[in-house]
Formats: sequence, C-alpha cells, structure tokens
Amino acid sequence: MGEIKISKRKTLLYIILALLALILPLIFRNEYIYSVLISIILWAAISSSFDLTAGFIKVTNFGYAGFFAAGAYTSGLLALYYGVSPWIGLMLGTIVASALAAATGFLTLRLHGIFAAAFSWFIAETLKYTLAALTDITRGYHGLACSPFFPGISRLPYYYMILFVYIAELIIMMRIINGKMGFAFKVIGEDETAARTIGVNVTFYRVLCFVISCAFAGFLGVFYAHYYNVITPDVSSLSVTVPALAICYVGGRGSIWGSLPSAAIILMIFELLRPYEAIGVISFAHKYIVYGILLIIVMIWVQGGLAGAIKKLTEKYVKTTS
Amino acid sequence: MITPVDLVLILIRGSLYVLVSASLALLFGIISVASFMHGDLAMLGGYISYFLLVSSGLDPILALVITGVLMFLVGCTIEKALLLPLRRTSGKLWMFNTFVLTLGISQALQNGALAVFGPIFYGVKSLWAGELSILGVSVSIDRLAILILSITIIAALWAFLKYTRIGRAILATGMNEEAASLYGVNVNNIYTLTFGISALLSGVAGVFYMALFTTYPLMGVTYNLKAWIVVLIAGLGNVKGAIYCSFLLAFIEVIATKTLAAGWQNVLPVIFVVLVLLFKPTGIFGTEVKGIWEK
Repeated sequence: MGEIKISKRKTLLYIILALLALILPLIFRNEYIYSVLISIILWAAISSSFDLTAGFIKVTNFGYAGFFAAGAYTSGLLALYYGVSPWIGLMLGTIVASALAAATGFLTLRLHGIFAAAFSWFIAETLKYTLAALTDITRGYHGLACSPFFPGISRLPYYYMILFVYIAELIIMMRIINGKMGFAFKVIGEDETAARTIGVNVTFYRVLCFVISCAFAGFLGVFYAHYYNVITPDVSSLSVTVPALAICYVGGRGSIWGSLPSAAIILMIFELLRPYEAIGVISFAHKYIVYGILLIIVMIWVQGGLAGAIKKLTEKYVKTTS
Repeated sequence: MITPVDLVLILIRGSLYVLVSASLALLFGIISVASFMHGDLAMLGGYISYFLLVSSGLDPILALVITGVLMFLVGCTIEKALLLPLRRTSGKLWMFNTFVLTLGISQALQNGALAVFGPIFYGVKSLWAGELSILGVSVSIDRLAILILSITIIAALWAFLKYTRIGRAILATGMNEEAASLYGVNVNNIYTLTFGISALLSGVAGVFYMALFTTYPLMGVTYNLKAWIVVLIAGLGNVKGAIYCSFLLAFIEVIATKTLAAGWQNVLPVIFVVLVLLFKPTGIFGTEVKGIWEK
C-alpha cells in the first residue's frame, strides 16, 4: 500500500485508458450511457479525494459530505441570488470548502483518530441542520435549484468535463503522493511518533492533507450541484459520506486509482438491478444493502480492497513465473 | 423558566436516551468499539417486540425480557461472526476499523429492514393503558413505566458490573486487557459478553421507542446520532457521565423546542457537541479512561 511508482509501461496503459474514455461516448451515442458514465467518474473522483485522508494520514473523514455541501451550496446560492456563473462558482466553492476544512483541520487534527472523525461528522451535521433550518434562503428540503453549466439538454459536455476533472485530480494526487508531501503523509499514517522523530511537522501535514482532500470535495460538490441542478441539505449527510467511504474502502485504501473500478462495479450493479426495481421485484432499499455488505466483506476479509487483491494476485503471478 | 411540564418531559426524554447512550459508552470504555449501529440495534429490538406483542399477544414485561434475550444473542453473534475476525487483523487501527465495519452493518440492517418490513411505521397503542397525574401534569402510565424501567435497568447494570465476578472481569478488561488476561480472564469471551449486553440495552430501548412512538427502518439514524451526541458530551467511555448527559441532552432539546423557531432545535445539540469537542475533547466529565482512543 502506498507504493505508487509510475513506470513507462504504466504510463502507456494510462494513456490508452484515457483515450478509451475519450472515445467511449462516441461509440455509444446514448444519453443513458452518458449519465451512467458520468456518475461512475464522479463517484470515483469523490472517493479518490476521500482516499487521500483515509488511506494516507489514516483519518476517516466522516464529515466529508459537509465540505461537499459547502462547495455545492456556495456556488448554488451565489448563482441563484447574484447570478454568478457556475464556472466562477467552481473556484469560489472550492475556496469556501478549503477554508472550512482548514478551520476544521486546525481544530480537530490535534485531536486523535476517533475524535477527529466525530468532530468533522458533527460539523457536517451542523451544516445540514442549519441549511435545513434556513428555509428562507436555501429553501430547505424543497431543494435549491442550480443553473446548469452548459446550455442544451445533452449530457455529453458534462462527461468530458468530469473526465477532465478526474484525470487532472489523479495527476495532481499522484504528484503529491510521489513527492515530499506524500512521503510525509505516509509516514504520519504509519507511525506518528516516528514521523515526529525524523522532523516531520505532523500537525501541518495532517491539516494540509485534510485541506487538499476537502478542496476536491468542494469542487466536486459544485459540479454535483450544477450537473443535477438541484441540491437539498442531504448533500451534507451520510448519504454522500457513506457511498464515498464504501467506494473508497472497496477500491482499496491508499491506492487512489482503486476507486474507479470499485465505483464502476458498484454503480453497474445498481444499474443492472434497475429493471427489476421498475417491475417491483426488488425495492430501492436492496441497492444500498450492497454498500453495507461490501463494507463488511472488505473490512473483515479483504482489507486492501480491490487494489490490494490485484496487487497480491500480480505478486503471486510474478513469483510463479519467474 | 422551567415548568413542571418541562421537568416531566426532560425526565422522560432522558430516560429514552439513557439506555442507548449507556450501551454505546460501555462499548467505548470496555472494548474500544466505536459503534455506529446502536440505533439500528434499537430498531431491531423494536421490530422483535412489536411482533411478540401484536402477533402472540404476550404480556409487555415478558415481551421485554424475550426481546432482551434475543438481542443479547444477536449481539453475541455479531461480535463472534464479524468483530472477532476484524480484531485478529487490525492492530492499531482497531477503533477506526470498528467504526467503518459497524457503519457497514448499520447500512445492511437499515436497508434490510426496509426491504423486509417496507417503509411502514409499526407501533402499538400502548403497553399499559391509562394515565396518572404527577406535579399536576398528567402522564401516561407507559411513560412512567418506561422511566422507572430505564432507571431499574441501569441500576441493575451497575450492580452487575460492580458486584458479580463476571461484571468485575468486564471492568478489569476495560482497565487493562493484558493484566486481566494474566489473571485468568478470557478476554475474547468478555468482548462477546460486553457486546451482547450492549445490544441487549439498545434492544430494550428500541422496545420503548416502539411503545411511545413507532418503529421504522431508518429510525436508527436519529437514535444513533443522539447516542453519539450524549457520549461525546460525556466523554468517550464514561458510562456514568453518559447517564447524566442523556438528561442534559433532553434538557437542551426541551429548552430548544420551547424557545427556538421550528427547525433550529436540531442545530443546538450538534453545536453544543462541537463546542464541547473544541474546548474539552475529553467530555464535560473529563473521562479518566486512559488510552482507549490511541489503541
């Protein structure tokens, strides 16, 4: 875990994958396929940013949804009341989410493990109840309408946008992880005392990691708001945190890329179940059992998640062949 | 100004929170499990007792006892089947891992209940019909019985922990696991037993929710949040503090409902928790339980 090195062969693989993603919507000219692809990439992006804290500094950010909502509501409210373009909203939402994360980080990350998780969870809950109570401004559970990024009804531009965002996010994260900063994150996650001993400023790097993760959360929150065009205070609740956490853990903590196959598999399962839902064989609820059961399986039997399992398999293969 | 009505409300609300919070605090204090599924255990208890009461027409007390026993078994099973294997693999990150694992179990339970029982509210009219007048406030016998039963159960828990051999073994394990195992305590069994007791308490609380309000698949979300509020205010692992803080939470809620506009009464307790964590992360009772969160 945490050993991410980019070799030439891997770079080629990434480029092929990226090209495939670029031409995929041109093969399937279908709005439904676009919407599925968008949600897969969106959740993969969300979970990768969740992974930055969960997998490296080992803080499971239970209040992730709070920062997601901070971004979404900042941009949504500005667009509604001041006519600010969503493109500027992307920037402002990210800034607000990062500022909130910096404040929360400085206050919580001197606390340990479970306290930090609980604290950020309660920040998110506070935000949720406040947003729900401010019905005059946010319209509470009626939902806040958000203007779209692109004119027209096609989802194709959104696909390319989120694809670009995801690839940019991956590149930024790989840079961070393979750099000095990433080293500090990994050491802090493994052993805090050791990190202090070798002169790593633990609090600073913990907060930095938290802020970077939450900045992505805010950015993706803005995308979410203007893609789905409506947000409710529930974007600040566990209904965002749980999928993010489950996809991240199933993909494999500390792998960053594991979220993509994991999001693809989980959301595909949901899509495959959809026809049965329509004829009433299964209910909406059955879908979310998937998160629960996968989390239980991953926690108990495959703690490395998909990425860990793949790594183990390839190691075995390499050993037997050489 | 607190009127007698408020006082009665606070007492009854507090007695509803006390069992779930105490059971959550017990898990923190003894076996360092950060459970996210206690609200859902209450939900399960509610369903069990509903079917016992309605379909077999049992006496409420008998139904309560049977629900308790069943929930104890459910708790033991969950511990043996899921938490024990997790304990073998997670070292330092044990508490975090339990947090995530119980979140998974909670999702499975909530949505499982939604699939099996449907989005329907189950409830009974009352356990015992009738009402009494206290301090000039008329209170239904149910509420009074629940207040008395909650206090009795907590007292019984206290006596069990203090004065029986097994109870003392549980407390000893909470203080120092290695030392306890050196003195011949089977730590694995203590883990199972503690989780079972904790599930029992939550299940019994679920019966009370079912009797006063209703049982529905997602009720766990609310009660889980309340239990966490209480436990964080009291300080993780402080069972005694959790008992007092249940009533403190009830007090805050009653005052908030009385003075604030609709919608804001949910904000106040959460902000209170944030403030407590900010200024006194060990809780207002300053827990002396050492090192449980470093595990």
